[in-house]
Amino acid sequence: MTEISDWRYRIERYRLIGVRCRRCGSVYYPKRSKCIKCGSSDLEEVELPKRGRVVEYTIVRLLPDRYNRFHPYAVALIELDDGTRIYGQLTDVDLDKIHEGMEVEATLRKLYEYGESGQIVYGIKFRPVLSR
Amino acid sequence: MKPVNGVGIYGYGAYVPRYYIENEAIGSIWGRITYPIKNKSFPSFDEDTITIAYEAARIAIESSNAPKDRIHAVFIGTESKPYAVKPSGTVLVDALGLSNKILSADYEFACKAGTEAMETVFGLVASKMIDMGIAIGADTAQGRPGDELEYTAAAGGAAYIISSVEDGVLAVLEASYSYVSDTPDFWRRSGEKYPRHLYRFTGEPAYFNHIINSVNGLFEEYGYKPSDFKYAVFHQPNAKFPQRVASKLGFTKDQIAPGLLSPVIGNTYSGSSLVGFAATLDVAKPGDKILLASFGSGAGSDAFAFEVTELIEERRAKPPIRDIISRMVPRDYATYVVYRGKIWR
Repeated sequence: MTEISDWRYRIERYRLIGVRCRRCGSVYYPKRSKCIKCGSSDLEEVELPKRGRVVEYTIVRLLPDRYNRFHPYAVALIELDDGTRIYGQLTDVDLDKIHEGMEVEATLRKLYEYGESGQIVYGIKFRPVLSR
Repeated sequence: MKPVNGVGIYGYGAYVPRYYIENEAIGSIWGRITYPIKNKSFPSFDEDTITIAYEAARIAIESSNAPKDRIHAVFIGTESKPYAVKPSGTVLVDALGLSNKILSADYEFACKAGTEAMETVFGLVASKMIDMGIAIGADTAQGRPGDELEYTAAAGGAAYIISSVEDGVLAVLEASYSYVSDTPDFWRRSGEKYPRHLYRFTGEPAYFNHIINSVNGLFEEYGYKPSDFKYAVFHQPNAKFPQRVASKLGFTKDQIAPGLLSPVIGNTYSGSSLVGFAATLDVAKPGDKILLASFGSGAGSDAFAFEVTELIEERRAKPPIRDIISRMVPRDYATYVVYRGKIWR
């Protein structure tokens, strides 16, 4: 990623915008141009639900410099309320207390920075729900 | 100031980060044994004023079901801008999915930048230049290690969606009054990481003088008295000042109790009086009058008189701010130092 591509992807990262295949209904995040299941190129943008549950997770401890202030962190496979499964970073969690089925919701957080004088890149992360 | 056309609050939301540090944990590092508050909030390593403003604004929009396409201003009052030059509100416009036909700017007036943003949006809506706007006060306040401010400088924010009364508001703005003078109680020079202050000077000539003048000005100009208000909210730099200014002005402890959050979250600067106002709206009933008085160093105070309407019941913030506070967890000084970026990997 560069600052330019960070800007190009900002809307889908800020609002969890994916695509749905108009032929078979499969949903993808991040966006892609072709459906993996049926091969159709007829996909439409959809804003995905902001709540879901942790299916699986792992802890990331080694990352490039731009993540210096932001690791270790957990990446989880999350099943959103509509059944779509996506990968997302977890935040506001104790890394030793994450569990399958943990209810999470999307929020906007800093993803990384291009050094102290460079751009700050924001995007969706998931945290335990504030309330149900 | 009294708007010719009726305006008020359409929706609101408030947020504080998950983490707090006890004053005792800070004092144990620096050898101090008396403290201005119990706990203060601080942001996670991936939070800043923009993400806090986003959380508060998202709660405000979702709780009130505000029509996003009619919001044409988003102003953020803060003294902890993530960028010295690059507006904070533009991220919110795209992240919240607001219309790009919108005004956006960052406001700075120390701790009262949030109420300055509110006053501006009230004016834009009352003059019918825009339909609705969002005013936010949010901060991740800075305190030099070992300094008095390190015990209170906290993080949090609140967002207020402002509309015409014709669109239906949960609280009507009845009147406001601002009082400002050149009083150097606290400042941060350009390029400096931490602010400086004049210790005891921050009390009488700054905090008390400006709040007392703004509130008394509001009372004298529009005929209010303390007993007209069910609740009152004052800026909260510590636990003592808001209680003392309330007493000096003739308010009771019960009137300020719902909005007094500084003992457990600290001073959230531009968010301080506005987060307290949100906590008060969380418990207010239709017909209640609420006094809100901010304070910003430098110095000035904005005082507002609101009356709550029936719409409060359907548009209360979900979750209420005290629920958000109840999920907070303590962290030690080492974690606080790393999360605040005082030392780097």
